[in-house]
Formats: sequence, C-alpha cells, structure tokens
Amino acid sequence: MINFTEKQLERYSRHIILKDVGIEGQAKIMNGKVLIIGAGGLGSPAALYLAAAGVGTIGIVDSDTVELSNLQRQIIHFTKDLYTPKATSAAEKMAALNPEVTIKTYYTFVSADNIRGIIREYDFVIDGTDNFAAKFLINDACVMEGIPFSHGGILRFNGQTMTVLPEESACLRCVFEGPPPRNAVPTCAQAGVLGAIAGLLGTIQTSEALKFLTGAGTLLTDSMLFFDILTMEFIKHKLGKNRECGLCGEEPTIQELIDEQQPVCDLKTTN
Amino acid sequence: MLKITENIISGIIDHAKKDSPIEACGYLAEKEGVIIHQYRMKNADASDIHFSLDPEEQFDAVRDIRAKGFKLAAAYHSHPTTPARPSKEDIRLAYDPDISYVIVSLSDGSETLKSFKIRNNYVEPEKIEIVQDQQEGFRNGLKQIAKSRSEDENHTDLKASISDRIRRSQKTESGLVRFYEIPPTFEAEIDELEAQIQRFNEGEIPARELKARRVPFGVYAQRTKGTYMVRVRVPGGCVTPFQLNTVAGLSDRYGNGSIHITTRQGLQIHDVVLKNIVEVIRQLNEVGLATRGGGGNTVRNITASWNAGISEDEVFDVTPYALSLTSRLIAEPDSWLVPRKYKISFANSADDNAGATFNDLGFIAHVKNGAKGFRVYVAGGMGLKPQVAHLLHDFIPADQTYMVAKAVKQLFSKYGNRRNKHTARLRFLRNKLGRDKFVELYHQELEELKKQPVEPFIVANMDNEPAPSIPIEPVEIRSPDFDLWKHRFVRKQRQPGLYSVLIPVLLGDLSSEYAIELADFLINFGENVLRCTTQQNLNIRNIPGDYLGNVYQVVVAISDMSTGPEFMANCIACTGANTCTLGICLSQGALQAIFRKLKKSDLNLDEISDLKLHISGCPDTCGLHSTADIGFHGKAARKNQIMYPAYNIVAGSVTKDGHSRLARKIDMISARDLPDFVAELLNHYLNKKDKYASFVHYIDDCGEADIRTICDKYRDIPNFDDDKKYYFDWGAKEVFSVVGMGIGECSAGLFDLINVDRDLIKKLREERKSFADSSKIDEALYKMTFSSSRMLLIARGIEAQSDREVFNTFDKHFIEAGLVDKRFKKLITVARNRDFEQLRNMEHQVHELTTAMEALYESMNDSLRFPSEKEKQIDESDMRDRTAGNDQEVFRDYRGVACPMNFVKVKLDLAMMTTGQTLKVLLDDGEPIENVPRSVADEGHEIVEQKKTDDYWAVLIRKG
Repeated sequence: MINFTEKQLERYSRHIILKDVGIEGQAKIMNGKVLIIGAGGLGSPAALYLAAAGVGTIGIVDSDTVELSNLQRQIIHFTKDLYTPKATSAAEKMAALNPEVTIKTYYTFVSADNIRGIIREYDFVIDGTDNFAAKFLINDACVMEGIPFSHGGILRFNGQTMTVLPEESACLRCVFEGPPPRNAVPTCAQAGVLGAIAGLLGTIQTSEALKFLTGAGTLLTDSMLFFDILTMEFIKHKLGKNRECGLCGEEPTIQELIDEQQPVCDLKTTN
Repeated sequence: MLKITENIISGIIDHAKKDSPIEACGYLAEKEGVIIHQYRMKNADASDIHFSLDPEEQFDAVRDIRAKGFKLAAAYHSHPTTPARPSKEDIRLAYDPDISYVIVSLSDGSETLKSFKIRNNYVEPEKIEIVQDQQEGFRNGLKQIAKSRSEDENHTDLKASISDRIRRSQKTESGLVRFYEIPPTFEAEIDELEAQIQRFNEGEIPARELKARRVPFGVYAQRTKGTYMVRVRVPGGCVTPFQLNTVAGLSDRYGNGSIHITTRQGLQIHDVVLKNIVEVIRQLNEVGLATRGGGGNTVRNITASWNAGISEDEVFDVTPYALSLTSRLIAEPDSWLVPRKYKISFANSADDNAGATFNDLGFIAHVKNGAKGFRVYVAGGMGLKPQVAHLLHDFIPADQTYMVAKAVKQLFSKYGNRRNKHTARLRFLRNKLGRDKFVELYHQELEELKKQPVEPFIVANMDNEPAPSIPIEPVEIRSPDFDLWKHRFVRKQRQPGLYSVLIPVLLGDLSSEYAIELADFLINFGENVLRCTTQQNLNIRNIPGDYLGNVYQVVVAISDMSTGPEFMANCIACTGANTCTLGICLSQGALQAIFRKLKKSDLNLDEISDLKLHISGCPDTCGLHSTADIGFHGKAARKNQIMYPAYNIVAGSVTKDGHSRLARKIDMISARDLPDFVAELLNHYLNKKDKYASFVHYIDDCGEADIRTICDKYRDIPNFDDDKKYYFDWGAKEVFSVVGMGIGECSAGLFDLINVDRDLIKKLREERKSFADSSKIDEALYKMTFSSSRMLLIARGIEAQSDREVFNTFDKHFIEAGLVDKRFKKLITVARNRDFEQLRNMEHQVHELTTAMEALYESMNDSLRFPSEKEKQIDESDMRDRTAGNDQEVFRDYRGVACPMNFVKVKLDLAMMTTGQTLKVLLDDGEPIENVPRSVADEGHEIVEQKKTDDYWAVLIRKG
C-alpha cells in the first residue's frame, strides 16, 4: 500500500510527522477521492488544499465562467482567467500546485439526473455551492448513495457547516425540512459577503475531508458549527438524527431526487 | 550527582509509604546545588502504576520555588511494588533533561532510592550524595536503604571477605572493561524471566513452560531437583579478572562454590536454586556477562583460538572478530529462535586449534593479496552424529564475517527442521538438501543481505601489551621445579618480553576461592590477561618475564596439576553420569583413574604434551572424543546378561584446515581395564614415537593394530561372581546400571511451548463437560480460546506479552493471513473484550476453533510451515520477510538526512514493520538525535537504546 518516493516523503513530510496522520494517513490521502461541487468561494480553498495535500483524485464540478465579482473571494481564479470556465481555471492551478494528483473536471450543474452518477466515484463530497436547491440535492444524493459530505454556507460575516455520515449522523434534512421559501433569505448579491470567510469555511470543510480520509479526530457530525466573524464567536450546536426526517428518518417520504427551483445564492444564517 | 539531605530522603520515603499502594509523587527544590525542600503532591491519577502531578499543586510549587529563590532540581515518585528503575512511561514522560528523576521503590520490603537523568529517552543513573550535618550517620542509613537483596544474612566471614575483594577490584578501572556488548533489551528479558519464575512458583505455569524460557537463558536443571546450572557467555574465552572475580563470587554465594570452564570456553555456575537465578543473571549482566544463549536453540558462545593475538605462528588475531560477531548476533531477536543450536568458531591459523572445522560455522584466518579474511567452513558439529564441516568459501574478506554468519543463520532459520531435534542441527539440513542446493540457498540469502543496508561490521583492536604500571614487585625464583614448570606451561608470546602461562584446571572445575585469588593477582597485569580454553583450562597472557616468579607462586597454590606434565591438562572428560541425565559411564571417574595409573607409571608424559585424550560418558560427543587423538565413549556391555561399563575406543582424528577428520572406532575396552589400556598404548607409542610425525601417523601406520592387540589381552572379563569390580564404574558405589537416564535438557524447544497450550485445551475440553457453574464455564471457554490463539504463535516467532497481544497477533498472523477461517474473527474480538456472555453464546465456535488449530498443528511441517505456504517460502523474495511479518531487525542509515526528513523516513520504516520488530537507525548528532527519538517515542514506539559512535548515533527502536 505504501510506496513513497523520496520526493513524496519530502513533499508530505509535515503530514507524515503528524502522529495522527503519519505514513498510513498520507497513504490514505493519496488513495482518497474527493469531489468539490462548486469552484467558487468555498471550492477555491478546498481545491487548493486538497491538491496540496496530495488527495489522489479530486473532482471539481462547475458550469460557470469566471466573473470579475468572483475574484474578491474565489482565490483559485486570477484576473487573467476572466471568462474561462471555473472548472478549467481551478484545474490549472491545482495541477500547477501538485502535478501528482489526478483532477477530473465536470462542466455542468449538478442535477437530479446526473448527480448520483458523479458522486458515486468519490469517497467524500464538499458542498461549495451557492444555492439551497443544490445543497439539498447534494444532501439527498449523498444520503441515498451513502457518501459522506461536508455541508457549508456563507453570508455576510457568517458561516455554517456540518459533516454528514449517511445513516450514521444527522443529515441536512434532519435539521431543515427543505429549502426556505423563495426570497425569504437574501442572496449574496443582495446581502454581500466578506471574502475571507469563504477561506475560513472552505478550509474547515477541507479539514473535514482530510480527517475523514485519514480517520484522524472526530468529525463535525451531529452538530452544526456557526460563526460570526464580527464578534468572533464560534458556536457548535449539538444536533441529532431526526426520526421524522423525510430523507433518513423512520418513515422516509423522499424516495427520489428532485430539482428544486431556486437558483439563488444563500441560506439561513441562524438556527 | 544529586546532592541531597538526609531529611529529604526520609521525607520521600515517608511520603511513598504513606501513599502506598498508590504511587507518591512530588518535586524537590535545590539551593546552592543541594536539595533542601520537598514538595509533596497529590497523584492526580490515584494509581498504583502511574502518576500525574496535581496541576494546581504543581503551579503552587513552582511559584513557591521562585519566591524562595530555590531551583527545581528533581521530580520524584514511588514504585510501591516494582524496582527503582524508570518505567517506559516514566522515560516517555520525562520532558525535562535538566532535572533529576528520583524514584523510591518499596518492593521486596526494603526502600531503595535512586536518581536518574533522562535525556532523549536515554536513562543515565545518577550518583546520590548525602550532604550536611549528619552526613556520616546518614551514609549508614542509605546503605540500609539500598541494602542488597541478600537472602542469606548468616553467610558471614568468608562472604564478607569475598565481597570486599569484589569491591576492591571494582574500584580499579577494571570493573568497566567488557569484551562484548549485551543488548539493552536483555534487562527487560531478565524481568520477564523473573515474572515467569514467579508464575511458576505460584503454580500458574507448568515446569515445562518455565523450562522453555529458562534454557535459552543458559539455565539448565541439574539432576538434583530444584538446583540449576547457569551458563555464562564468554566469547573467545575472554574474561577480565574482575569478571572472573564476579562469577566466582556469585558461585560462592549462590552456587556450589566453584566455577566450571566448558569445552566451548564458557563458564558455568552450578547448584543455584531457582529463587536466586535471576539475581545471579542480573549481577552477571552488571559486569558485562550475558547468559542468554547459554542453552537451547540459540546462537551459542562463539569460540576462538586461545592463543589468538599472542601466537608467533598465527595469521592474525581473530579474537576481536569473535567478540564483535557476538555483540552483533546477540542483539538480534531471531538469534534466540534458530531451529537448533548454532555454534561458531574462529581459528587463528590453519592448525585450527579452535575446532572451526567442527562447528556449524567456522572461520579460519587467511590472508589473500595482503587482505585479512577467512576460509569459511559450514555444517560441522559434534553430537550423536558428528561431522566435519565443509568448505563454504575459499576466502571472504574479514569485513564480510557478519554477513556470512547472518546469511547462514537465516538459511538455518528458514529451512531447518524444527520438529525433530535429533536431526535439527545445520549439518542435517545440508545433508538433506545436498551440497548444491544448500550452497545455492545460502548464496540466495547472502545476496539478499547484500542488497540491504547493513551496519558496518566494526572490529575493535585488542592490544596485547604489558600493563603500563604493575603495582607489585617481581619475585625471583631459582629452582629446578620452577624451570620445569616454565618448560611445561610457559610460552613466549610474539610480543617481545611477554609470556603466556597455561593453568591446568582439573576437569574444568576451579574453586571460587582460588579463582578469586587468581583474579586478584591478575588485576595487577591489566584487563586482557585471561582466556578460558577449549581444553577447559585457563591461560593467562601478557605477563612480563620478570613476573613469572610471581605467577608461579600463585599458580602452584591453586592448581595441583601445574606441578605435573602438560599432557594431563589436555585431557577432557565430560560430566558423565554424575550429573548428566544422558550419561552412561562415569567419564570423570575414568579419567581420574587413568591419571592415577599414569602417575604411578614411569612413562615420560612430557614427550606427549600435545596428545589429546578425550572421554565422553555416552556416544554423544560432549567429551569431544571424536576430535581426540585417542578418545573413548561410554557404553553398556553385557557379560552373561549382566551389564558392565565399557568404552568404545576411537582414534586418529585430525583437526587442520582442509584435512580435518573424525576419530574412527577401533575397538572396545571395559571401564575397569581402561587405565591399563591407556598406559600400555602410550608405552607403545612412546617407544615408536621417533618414527612418526604425530600420533595420527602412528595410528594410521601401526597404532590401530597395537590397539587391537592390547584389547585382545583384556577381551575376556571375569564373571560377576568372580570379580565384581568390573561391574562397578569408576567412583560408583552401586552396580552399574542405565536406569535413571532421561531426556536431555537441551531439547526444550518450541514444541514444548506448543504442547503447553495443546494439553491445556484438551484438559479444558474434558473438564467443560462437568462444569455447571457459569463462571467456571466462562473461564474455560476464555482459556480455550486464548490457548488456541496462542499455541501456534511461537511458530511465527511471536512471543506475545499480554492476552490482548495474543488475540491481536493471532488475528493478524493467522486469521488475516488466511491460515484460519475468517469466521473466527468475531470470536477473537469477543474473547479479547472478555465479553463472557457473548462467549457463552458462541461456545460451539470455541470448540470449532480448538479443532481447527489442532488440525493446523497436525498439518505443520518440520520447519513449522503450513501446507498453504510451503512453496511460497522458497520462491518469494526475502524483501517481504525483512520488512513485514517477522522479527528481523531493520537497519537504516540516516546520517546526512536533515530534520524532519529523517523522522519521516523512520516513520515510513516503522509503518512497514510489525509490532515488536526493531529498527536500528544511524542519526547525526545535534538536531536529529535531539528530535527524532523523542518524536518516535511520542508515537508509542520504544527507544530501546541510543549510543554515540564517533560523530553519529545509533538508535534502536522497537515498534509499538
């Protein structure tokens, strides 16, 4: 299982010397497959750190092209990348950072039709999308396929994240029945977002992916982490599986995937 | 140096006692270099095996220390039931290299206080000095505290004088000289043996299991129940005067009061009772002598020419090679698990006076194109079917010595027959495989080894020179006796002005008193002054000519034979039926009868100083009859259905590079007539001696016929009723009989251990039927599962230390490896968790597992391999073996690799090894040695040892 080259030993030395990662952990990372859905604010740091960590296969899904307003927080894209597909732009940077990782790009929206086929190939999924419809679609698909994922969202000065281990821990629908009503929550475009918190949350999600691959520590399951950067308060809310959850409860009502019609870019910021 | 006041020591002991059985702990503060304040703290763990300082009290103490202008000097804690040595945990948690770690032990009912510095996981004992007013009175107090575990207080005068002498010699630098290195793991192994003995005493393990443990430690049971012999490793026969003093002192205190020199240049202490065994082994260890490998299926004492380093005719000094090879091999765990004993010898010239051509592996010094090296012989040996070794290498450079020895060891381990001890020695393997296959497999091993990084084989120089200053005055003696003695026993060394002296020791037994006297005398002449010889004598060396008078005075006082001819000194007799359970005849009695006869004769024995006369009490060649000029081995003969003791006569052996051959059987003689036979034969030979270059030439020419002629004279022995003397052996009080012969001790092997579990399982299966009490059932089921898991671990070279480890290693090496069905995985987990309720539900599986293991045992072949893996073993590259799944030590050289890459590489190595396997790495001084061992220890591995060589460090790590 372990066949490190001298260069790999050196490249990953700071991981390997960690007691909880070590040689075995790094080997697991290098055998790991992680999918990032959305090459935006959250996906940018996730893509860079996963590539840097040497995750064997990294998938990146995005159908958009780079816009000028993205560059305030989506740090994997540079000014020269304007109007190129985000997936391409991200893949270039990742390959430049670490030529050893395999990068798969998907120029598409995830939808009820394609998502299960895409995520099936991965060990872990990072949700870096900007709308509720996609977040619930990812949640439902991952639970159905039994693939662990990290949920995350940011708005203004706030962020929230939780990790879901299908069957074992609470899923997004255990907490929220479904997406909020249309326009009940302001969008990024309306409300704005501090660019740096994308980095803050994206790296937390990436840490969860790496913890999952290596088996180190305790995952952020059955709890939601909220933070408010203005007061610098981080709150971890204990949650539990909801027996009445329509997806993973005792009598599930959601049997198949649907595409919710809500192409907006935000989420609830409080519980 | 820890300077401390009496009050503080009393305070620590008081605290330890009050908190016992919980470990007591606290800080000690110093002022002006002297510890003057004790901070008692609560053990936050409230445990009897570990402690943590209560954080609040710790902060208070530190504040107080600052406020008062003291300095934190030491942390102390108590070991309520274990010795005052830092535990692995203590070492791991000792984060401050500057402070001292003081441990007070309450074990054994006495208080022992010791101090240590712990740096980079390396423990260094520290001297304790009591200071201030009541200094003198307190010294006495401390003596009591550190009181030796002496159990026999009534041993007084003589003992006192002996220990005084030991102490006296210890004061000289001599106490520090040791000829080989004992691996640091040895201490833990002694602890383990101690625990086993304790378990045996408490009836927890059967005698057979203890035997399997103690024999490889060089501890053999004697014929008298409850007494044991301890065999000490003395490579090349090299022993310092101080070591001799210690061995003799230990025998005086715990043994029969004399030391025994073996035909493999080792030393033995006899008649030690079980409770003293561990103490003897520990004290030997303290002076650099190991007993491990004294017996059993291990790498045995490595022999070397007694005159190596001083002989005028030698090629070069081979002693350092024997010593270095010893240090290397005894540090390797698989040296204790070879299929049968593995004997190695070094000879300094083609004359092979070390018997290299009769060992499992023999090295004969040779120089080729100006380079030192060896001709190498393999697969020779004594025993029931003795065999001359075969040439393996015409020449190997000297630095390949270790590789060759290791390759042979691995070859032996892999393919040797472990099941039948009678055909287990290396020579049987060679005979079975045939020369070509054997050599081919050997070269495979050697090539594999050459691909691996190997620590360089470094050989230290041994100087043979006079002591720089000799504190005694030369004694001048002028007498014919002195001259005769010189002629017989004193030899010129190749070093001008220096002499060696043979001290004949009758049957290899020297009283402790004499040995100590000799040691005390020899200390005047340095450290490298003494050898045990394969003829069971002592040989002293590096004596300036002026001092031969002094030597003469001492030697004639302790060795009667020094006033007789050298011939006697070269005679060997094994212990025989006196103490050996295999013995048939009383070989020692026979030799003494021969001596008596010869002394009365007018034969000029000085003409035959070199003649080797060897007697064994049975066909086994412990008395080396097969390599004698004239040899005898005991047998039982019959006259009219009545048995009488007799000897087969063998003669004509040659020991010489390229020409070695065994003595051949010529005839037989009754024990009674043996002395007369010897006298007559020697008479024949002395009369014709001038015509022959050697005794062998005589035998080959007309000696054999002479022997038959003499035997014919004695062929007819009287009937029992006419002369009963023929039916009594020499020195026997009863009529000759072979009743009481037993099975050899040496056989304690793996199968004994396996049978412990097999027998237990059988017993439990039987008993289970009658158990109704659920707790008894639980226990039986657990033990059956446990024993089933453990029984074949040893076949994999695994010696699990705990129940958990047994289950874990069984899971890994048998279930995961596919030797045992995967369905038992759950059962093993249940047993490991001691979930008895669940275990009861799975009872049918427990029985199935026992059946499965018995079947697996039955299917095992002679080399402890199972059918499914038989072929694999031969084809597969050795690489896998080395990196995983066995206990080979892995070696890596990370000099020149900077931090943290060196640590990264060590982690990689460890990841590919199995728990318990050891890794030796070389690291640079400075940052690497400061960081890597600590980081490795943090991850739960054990730093067994680290030591500095030149400008780098060798660190031995055991995977946790």
